[in-house]
This record gives sequence, C-alpha cells and structure tokens, in this order.
Amino acid sequence: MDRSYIARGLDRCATRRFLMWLLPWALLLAFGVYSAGLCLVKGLNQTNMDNRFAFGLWIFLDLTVIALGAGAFFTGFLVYILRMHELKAVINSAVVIGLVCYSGAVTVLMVDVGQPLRAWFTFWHPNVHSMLTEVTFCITCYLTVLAIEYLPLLLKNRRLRQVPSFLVFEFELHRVMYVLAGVGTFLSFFHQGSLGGLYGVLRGRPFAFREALGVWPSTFFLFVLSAAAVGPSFVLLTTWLVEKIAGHQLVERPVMQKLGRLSGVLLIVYVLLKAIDTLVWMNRTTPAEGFSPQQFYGFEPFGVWILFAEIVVFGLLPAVILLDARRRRSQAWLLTAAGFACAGVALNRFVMTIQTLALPTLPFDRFLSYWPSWQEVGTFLAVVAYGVLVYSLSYRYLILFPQERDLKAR
Amino acid sequence: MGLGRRDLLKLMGGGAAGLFLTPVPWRLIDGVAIRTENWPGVPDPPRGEVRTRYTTCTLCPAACGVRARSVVDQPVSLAGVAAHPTSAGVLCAAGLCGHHLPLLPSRVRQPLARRGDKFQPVPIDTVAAAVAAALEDIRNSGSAERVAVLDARPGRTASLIYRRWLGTAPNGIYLLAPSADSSASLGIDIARTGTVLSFGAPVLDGWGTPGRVLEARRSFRLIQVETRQSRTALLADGWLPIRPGTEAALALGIANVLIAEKLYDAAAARSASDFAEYAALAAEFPPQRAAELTGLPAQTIVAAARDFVGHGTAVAVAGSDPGAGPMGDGERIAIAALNVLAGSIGREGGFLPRGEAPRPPGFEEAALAPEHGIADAPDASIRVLIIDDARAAGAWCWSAIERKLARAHIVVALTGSLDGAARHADFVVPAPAYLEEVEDAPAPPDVPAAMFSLAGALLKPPPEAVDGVDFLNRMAGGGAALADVLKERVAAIHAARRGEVFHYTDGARTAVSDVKSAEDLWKALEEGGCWIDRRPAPKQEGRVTILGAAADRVLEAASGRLPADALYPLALVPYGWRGASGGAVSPIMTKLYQESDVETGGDTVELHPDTAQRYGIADRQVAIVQTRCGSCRRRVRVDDAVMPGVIQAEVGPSASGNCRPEALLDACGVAGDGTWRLARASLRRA
Amino acid sequence: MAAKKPARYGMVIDLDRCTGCGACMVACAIENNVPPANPEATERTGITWMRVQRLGNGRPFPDSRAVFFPILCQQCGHHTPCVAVCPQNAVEVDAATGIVDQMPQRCLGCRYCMAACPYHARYFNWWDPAWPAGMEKTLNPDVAPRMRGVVEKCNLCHGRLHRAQAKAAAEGRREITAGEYVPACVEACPAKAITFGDLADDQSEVAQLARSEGAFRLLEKLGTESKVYYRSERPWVHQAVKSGIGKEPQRG
Repeated sequence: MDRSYIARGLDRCATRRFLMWLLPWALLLAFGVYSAGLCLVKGLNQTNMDNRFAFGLWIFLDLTVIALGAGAFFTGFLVYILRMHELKAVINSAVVIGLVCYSGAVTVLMVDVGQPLRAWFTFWHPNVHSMLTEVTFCITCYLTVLAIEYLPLLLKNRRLRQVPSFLVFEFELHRVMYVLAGVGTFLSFFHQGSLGGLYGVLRGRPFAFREALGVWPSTFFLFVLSAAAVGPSFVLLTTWLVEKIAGHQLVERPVMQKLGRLSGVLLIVYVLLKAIDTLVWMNRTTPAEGFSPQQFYGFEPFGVWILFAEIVVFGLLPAVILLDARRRRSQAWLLTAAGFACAGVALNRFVMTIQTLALPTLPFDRFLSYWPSWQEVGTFLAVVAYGVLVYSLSYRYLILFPQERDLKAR
Repeated sequence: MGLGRRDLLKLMGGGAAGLFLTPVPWRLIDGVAIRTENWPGVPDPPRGEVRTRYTTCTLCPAACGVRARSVVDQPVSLAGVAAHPTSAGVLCAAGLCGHHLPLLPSRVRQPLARRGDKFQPVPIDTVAAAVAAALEDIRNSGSAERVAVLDARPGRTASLIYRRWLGTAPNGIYLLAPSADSSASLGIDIARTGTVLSFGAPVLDGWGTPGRVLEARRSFRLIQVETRQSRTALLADGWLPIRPGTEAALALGIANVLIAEKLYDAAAARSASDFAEYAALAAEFPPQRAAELTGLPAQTIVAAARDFVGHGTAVAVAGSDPGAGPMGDGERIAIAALNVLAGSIGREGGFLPRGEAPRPPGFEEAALAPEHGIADAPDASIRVLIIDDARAAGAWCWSAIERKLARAHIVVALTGSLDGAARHADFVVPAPAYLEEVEDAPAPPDVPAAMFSLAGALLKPPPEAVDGVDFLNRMAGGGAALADVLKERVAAIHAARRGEVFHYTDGARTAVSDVKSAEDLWKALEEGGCWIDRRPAPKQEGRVTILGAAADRVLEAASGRLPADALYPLALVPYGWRGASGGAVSPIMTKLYQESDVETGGDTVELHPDTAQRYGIADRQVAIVQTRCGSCRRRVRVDDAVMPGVIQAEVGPSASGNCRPEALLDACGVAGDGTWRLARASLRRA
Repeated sequence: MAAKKPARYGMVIDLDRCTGCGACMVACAIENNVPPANPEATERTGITWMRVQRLGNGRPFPDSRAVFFPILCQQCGHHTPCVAVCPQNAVEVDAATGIVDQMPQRCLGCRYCMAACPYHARYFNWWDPAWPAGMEKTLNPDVAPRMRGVVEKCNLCHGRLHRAQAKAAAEGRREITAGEYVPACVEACPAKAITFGDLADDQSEVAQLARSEGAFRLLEKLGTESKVYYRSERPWVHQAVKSGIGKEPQRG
C-alpha cells in the first residue's frame, strides 16, 4: 500500500502489520501525553518531587538519554571529521536516535519546569555564569543541527526525492555535512560537559562538587568523555535491537566490533580519569568543605557499593571486555559489555542527580527518599513511545542502514 | 500574469520571515509571559489607605497590646505594642494571625439548633425562648436543678454581668472553665524572681504573659518538672523528667528535704496554721520514697530542693497544660505549699497581690453569684448550661462537664466555631469573633497589679451575631448592652482616680487623675490603651492554711496517680499549646502543623522507639490508642526523647484537618477530681 | 556628598533564647503573602520562608537535648550558590544592601537554585496559591503574591525596606535609621532571639554579636559567607552542629 514510499530493494513488512506494531506505542504515547497534560494543567504537584528533591526522575532520565544520544554527535565526528568511512553504515541511525533523544528530552524539560511559557527567558536574560544557560543554548542549537542532519535522510525518501529541488538541496547539504558535524561536535562537547558542570559547580552539595580545571569542574570533562564512550555502545545496542525486530542483518559485523572498540578505548580512559577524580574528591575536595566521604555513603541503600558498581562493574569491566578483540567477535560478549557501559553511564547520572539531593547537608537534615509518581513515569514513557514511533517510521520509509541492501543481496 | 502557487508560497515564506522583524511576535511572546504572572488563581492584594489601629488581644488571658496595620478598615497584619507594661511588645503566633479568625469560612454566622446530628439555622428568639421556657420551668416546679454559665474567660466585665444575672436566675451557678483562674489573687513579680520551679507549666511557651516572662528570662533560673520534654523543658536550666502523675510526690519530697535540712523560711512557716501537719505529711516522703515514686534519683531530688531555695526568691508554679487541662487539687496544694516553705508569698520576686479594676455600680460581690470550679457542681444537677467559649484558650474534656448535666438539659454554646463546646450543644449562638466587638480584659493571671485593657473593635460583626450579654438581655427582656456597662466601668475607674493609662499609640503614660473626663478616658482606651494600677492591694492578714481539709487529697495525689493496669500498661499524656488547642485556628497555622515539623499535629502521638517496637508499630504508621473510656486513631511518630512507656498525644490542629482537638480527650476520661490529664492506655496497629 | 557605604544586612540568632514557638514563621507568612498549605502539602512541599528546625544531641531519653534552629535564606555573600546557577538571572545580590533578591516574575521554575542551596532555604510553588474564600482581603499590599511553578524565598522583607526608605524620603532624609527597617520575623520573635542590622556597620549590635564568642555560621567551610549567624553559650550545641549531618532520625 505504501510500497512507493519504501526504498527499492528493502524488505519491509506489510502495511497492516506495521500499523499493528505502531498501535501499542501510539497508545502508550497517548497515555504519556495525558500524564504530561496533567502535570501541565494541574501543576507539578502531580509529581512526587518536593523541595528537597527538586529534581527527580525526569532530570535523571534526561541526562541519561542525552548521554546515550551522544552517539549522534560522536559518530558524526568520527565519520566526517576523522573520516572513518565504515561507520557510515550506522550514522543515519545514530542521527535519528540523537534526534529522538534530544527532542524527547527537551519536551520533558518543558513539562518539568514550572512555567514553560517562560522558557524563552533564558535567551532573553541569559546568565553567563550559569551552566544551565549554557546547556539551554547548546541543546537548542544542537537540536537544530540534528534536525538539519535529519533532513537529508528525509529528503532521500523514495517519493520525496522525486521533487528536484529537494534533491538539489540534499546534495548541497551533503557537501557541508562536515561543517554540520563539526558544529554538532562543538555544541555537544559543551552541552554534554555542561550537564556535568551543572552538578560539579554546586558548592552547596559537597557530594557533587568538584574542583575546577579552568572554569569548568572536572565533571564537565568526565561527562563529555563518558557520553562519547557510551554513544557508540548505544548505537551498537540499538542496531542489534532493530536487527532482531526486523529479522535480518543491517550492518556488517566488523562495523559493530569497531563501535565496540571505540567504546572500549574511550571507556578505559574515562574510568582512569574518573578514578583519579574520585580520589581527589575524597581526599582533598570534600574535607576542605568540612565533610567526609563516609558521610556520603553511610545511608542505605546508597552504600559504597554504588561507587564500586559505577566505576568497576559497569565501567572497568565492560571497558576491558570491549578492548579484547576476541570478545568483541562474540555477539553475546559485545552486547553485554555495551549494555553494561550504558548502565554505567546511567548509574553515574543517577548518582549525580538523585543521590546528590538525597544526602543531607545540614546537621538537622535527614536522608530522604523519593519514588516517582505514575504521572512522571507516564510522561517519560511518552518519550520512549515517541522515540519508537519516530524511529519505526524512519526505519520503514528512509534508508537508515546503507549496508542493508548489500547484505540482503548476499 | 497571475499569481502562481510558487509565488504564493514565496509570499507566505517571506511574510513569515519578515514578521520577525516587526514587534508583533515579540509583543505576543511578552504578553504570554505577563499572562503567566496573572493566572486567574493568583489573588490581588487589596489597595487603599494604610492605617495603624490599636486594640488588645483577647485570645487568651495575657491581654497583649496589638498594633494592627489595616488597609482601609481591614487589618492585614498584627504586631505587638512596644513598651507595653506587661506584654513588652510581644504577640505570640496565635495573636499574629488573629485577624484571620473573623474570616474563617467555617465560622458560625447565624444561630443554630441541633436536629439529630446536624445543625439548622433558627432565629435567635427561638433559642432565647427555649432557654427562657426552661428557666420558667425550674422556677415553677421549684426543683433544685440549676442554671449555669460556664465562662472560658472569667474576670471580664461580661463575666460580672453573667454573675449578676445568675444571682437572679433560679439556682444560678457560675462556673469557671477548666484551668481558668480569674480569682488568682496573687501574681508573680517575675522580673525579680530568682528561681522558678515549674511543675508542668509551659513557662516559656504560652504561660502568663509571654512577653513579660521572656523579657525576664535571663534573670531567673528555671527548673522544669515534666514527663514530656516540652519546649520549656528544653530551654530550662534543669529538667526533671518525672513519671506521669507524680508531681505531688516530688513536691512533698522536696518539702521533706527543705524541712529536714532547715532550708525553709521560718517566718513563713510560723504564719501557717497547720505547718506541723504539713511537716508530718512531708516526713512520709523522704528522698528515697519520692525517688521510687517519681523515677528520679534520690540525689537529684535533694539537689533540686537545694537549688530551689539557693538563688534568690523561689517560686513554685503548678502547670495547667492547654491540652491536658488542670492539675488536681492534691497536686496544686502540694506545689503551692512549697511557696510557703520558700517564703515567697508577699515578698519581692515572689507572689504579690493582684487586683481588679473598680467595678461599675451594681456589681458588688454580694450581688453576684460566686465563682466555682466545675467540680463544685453536683453531678446531674444542671438543667440549663450556657457556655461562653468564644475565645477558649485550651481544650476541654467534655465528660468533665457532661456528668454535671441533668438528664433533661439544654446546652447553649456562645461560640464562633463548631469545634469545641458546640459539638455537644443543643443551640449555637454566633458570638462576635475576635476584633469584632469592643470588650475588655482583666490583668493577666501572672501580673501583680490591677489592670483593665480595652479591646476596641476593628471589624463589624455579621448581622446575626449575638454576644453573651445580648443573649441574656433577650431572655430577660431588656438590659444594658456590654458596651454601655463597659463605659460605666471606665467611668468608675476614672472616678477612683488611681493608676495610669498606657497609650499604645505612642507609649505615653497618663495618670488617671490627669484625665479630664470619663469620656476622655474611654476614648484613650478605645484608641488603644490599658489602665494599670501597680499600687498593691492590701495584704491579707491572718494565718495561711497550707493543707486545710485537703490533706487526704494531697496524700492520694502523692501516693500514686496512675495505678498500674495490666490491660492498659501505657500512660497517655495529652499536651497542647495555648494558641491552638482551643478551637478553630487561622489557616496560616499550617506553617506549624502541616508544612513543617514544628508541631507534629493533633492526629499524631509520639512514642519511644522501644515502646513502638513492643507494639509492632513503625514510624508514621497509624495506630489505635485505646483507653477504658474510648479510643482514637492516631499516626505514630517515633522519638527517642519520649519517656519509655508513655504516649504523648498532641491536642491541636492536624495536617489532615479532620481531627478535632477534643476527640482525644474524650478517650482520656475524667478522674474523680475532674481532671483528665492522664490515662492508662494501650496501643495496637490500625 | 560622600557615597553611602553599602550595607550588609544580616542577623544573629540566639539559640539559647529561641523557644521554637514558630511566631517568626507565622509573621513571615503573613507579611509576605505566603499562602496556607494546599490540603495535600506536607513538610516537604510546603512553603516556609522561615522555618524552625530542631537539632538534637543524638542521645536518647533522659539525656536527650534539643535546640531550635530558625532557618531562613542565609543571604550568602560570596559564591552565592543560587545567584550563580539561575539561567535567567532571576536571582541577584543587591549591591546596596547585600540582600539576595528573587524575582518570581522571571523565574522559570527550573529549580536549579533549589538544588544548589545547601541550606534548603528555597521553596517551590507546587500548587496555585489559594486562600480560603474571603481571606484575600488580608493580603499585604506591599508584596506581590506568586504564581504556581516559581521558586520563592526569604528576602529579608525587602518590602519593609522599601517602606522605610519611602518614609524617610517623605520626611526629607536620605538614609533610614537603624530600627526603621526590621523584617517581620525579627519584630515578631517573643523571645527577642533575633538581632538584625547592618553587619557592615562595626558599631552595630548585630556586628558585635556576630564577632562574639560562640557565634558561628552554618556550613562555614563552604565559603558562602552567609549573613545569618547563630550563637549559643552551650557547648553541646556547638558540638551537635559540628558532629555531622543526617543523624536526626525524626523531628525537624
């Protein structure tokens, strides 16, 4: 029925089956929109956030999702700046994932703030000292960049490319793709870093506060590095997932392994720097503020195990596996390690957002706990559903995996 | 050449781009932002001329001076009056939000009659007629049933009017509300006191006149005797955590030490007619026995006794917690006796005479029904009970009152809220709220002087509001309104030419003898002022009796207030705060009761962790507190500062808003002497 | 005419006098049009610009002791955490007075400042403000009520400062005298536990108390240079403040 929209030579299921696939996600999206609507109409009392947990599930997931979506900028950087042409096999998919992750995060942020209609104030009255200003500017610009990077994909659709001006536009755009990639990398470096900087500058939260290198706290650089490390892993995982659902191979195995190796290299560097940073933080920064590291890990369930899990189990371990060429060749090891790497970054974001706020700072504070409400979970599930829907539509009607046709031929 | 589709698209695109160069989109966005500041839900504060007006707070007996900042005629904030002779510029948390009380949506605005479980509006004449009919019935049948007025704020001019009316009513009896003590003939010279030994009195937390007490704080030592670690206990110089109900035992134990070590005032002892009896009673409570009963180490009791008399004039006060109600006679007498031993009665820094403003003509003591405590009324003897609890500063246990009612009875509540006495009333008469009617306040119970403070009206009452005097006049078919009697009283003060007027407006003082006329005096007081006469009333000559006929009550109180009970092993200790235990409070009190942990709230009880564990209840779980008289549901808060084996129960507003202060007290039950401050209880998880 | 030296308004709170009565909390809410709680609000979602906390000595009955700590915006003077992080510049330190001002009209409600504040002195409007019907006429005309979704906090009753300055101007004076400007909490405290004034004026009572033995600030090592000092002559209070965070299992 919609065959004319689907690129030649690609196997896609029947329209009806596709719609059946979309249906539950659409329903989930509807539920999520309702949840978000409740928060917008009735106010943020619909969530379980409170004055101590000013940030909750949404911010944690925003940070995680943006870190995972870093595959977009990093793969772009590798393909167009460092000229690793074999990664062209996944760059399109990475861009779509990035677009979905960033647009979803921005939407959730609009629900998260108390007065979304004032969102433009940050552009009108920017505070040059605030990390959040930096984040806002860079993410907005980067979203535009991603949209522009997505445009060629869209324009190469079988039907759309029949419009000559679209084809010309797409061709011209492709010529400057490396500029876009460069800009995207630059912007991403800053906003990924600033997301880390958000917490590293918090002098009032000794658990999160880090000493500065230049004007940026060490978390700035650690966040960029961890995002770059985990980007390829997430692209790897999503590619595998799409292959599983689609039922056929989309990408050559060496490309997957290359992604794994890239992740591994960056991850080991990250783990090393993170370990140094943690030692400095524990032995110098924290005592200078009048706190001791034991105070941070003395509250269940956030014991020292969480630090160990973040750096060793979900950091060092997957890095070592991904650096081993033999292990990379095994699909199971590769995917598990990639999964662990992603989990490690998620855990790192969790620790920075939730644990920071749970910990008491004053002598008469208590350690508090927080569980998200169903409206918060629903809003986030809307983003997941939206992501799946956009990706599914892109997968069906656009060429996300250039190697697919060749692999099919074999 | 026509416009093609492409031209149209180009025009639209160009137009859209160009629009951004005009102010239009920016103004629209700006307008949207302004809209976010003015959502329909955000109220607009009223505008108008800002005025400063003065009155006196009548929410509790402290009678603090009030400076009201008003927008046109609506007070928007209240503050104390600096340099006020007794309140020293202070208003407590309840006083600060008193101006909200007339506006509470739940306040009673029209007369109501009970029909089953609900109230229905009726004309005031129906109520007056019902009461008049009952009075007529008593007169005609010649029965011994009584007519009573229960007064939450005795000592006012309105109280005098009630007492005079009761003098003419058949078998009239005038009852003081529990813990109200207008007949206190002695105040405390706190500015020169050396040591205060307080048995459960919330000395630093809503007792006497807070401004006066706190101003003097640095100059006296405070020893707090209390089971609960109250705010006063936390700030006292010493805290003696006794077992519940053992105040009398401790008082006798201390007396024992003072007598044994000859630390008491010999002259004062000589002036007591039954000192030998008292000493014999105290001899039965040596430190060891007092220690066994109170749970304090014997050495602590000895040290406390020495401490009590070791630093200047010593004053012992018996508490009356606003939630737990009054102490029994036994305790009060045992504690008061310590003042005889300390020789602080009639001495500087101790108890000095407190007086009363001159009364208007026709209100001599002989013409008035005498003051009685509730316990003085025989059980089941009251046919008509009129309760004036419009400003009750403390919760009452209804059973203490209920047992005095005859089988067929009428209860009329003159009140502003349906909490409190109105819960059990047959008729509710809407009293004017605080700030709505000119009224007066006598000297606070702790002030050793004669005082008369006028509380000017800052607001208009609702059209159907009826004050107590007005209500009595309706039944009597006429009579002077309260305002007129107040004017007569001011005239009497003027005629006596004693004392001075303190003007709230500028802190000036004028001798009454310099005020030209009674009208001028009235005007000065109504604008904001109080009359105070520090000349001491003549000392009572003659000997004092310490125990009187109450020796056995004292012994009973000291020997064991709270017998062990296998089924109900815990001690239930209610407590409250004067500003909030009495009835409806301002919604801004959520700051204390809901939005912070300053007060845990009337729907919670506090337990020691061991106690909680023994009954299998975790922090914040709901439990049922069961006594022999009833039960109630409460949320448990675990606090290791609570004495093990004790349930501390707050009597006050609750965060959930659906828990009335008195409901817990109904479960406490009333002891033989009319007190409800302790009960045996048990717990189980809900 | 010589330039007026900028003031640094601050306070010293005597912990040995504070009875924990909460009068400061009530006076603050009335002065600043802070609404009563929504029925679903708790101590974690309410708005209490001034809030009395309780710090215990960590020992059980009968050795337990507690001290009451009124907590308000500490008016940090250096590296002010909330000023640095607000993306819209909706918070600023007023150079003439040292007061940390919040502009609710510009606040986006991102709550970054709330995460930054170590004193938990900032509060978010989780609900629309609602007063019982008829009670809107008791609002203070000098202070704008806030709308849902914005952060608010103590600003040392800046409205009262404006009022004092207007009164001085009407009387032809350029400066207000000490005592003409007093925040609501200071005025209301029945125990007179709060001393308020210009810390930059060495002769003022507040400056002398701030320098006195037994005066301290919370979280001094963070370097926020807060302008709210606490003092106590009881050694166990100092001990409890130093002994560590998060030990209070209940009440506070």
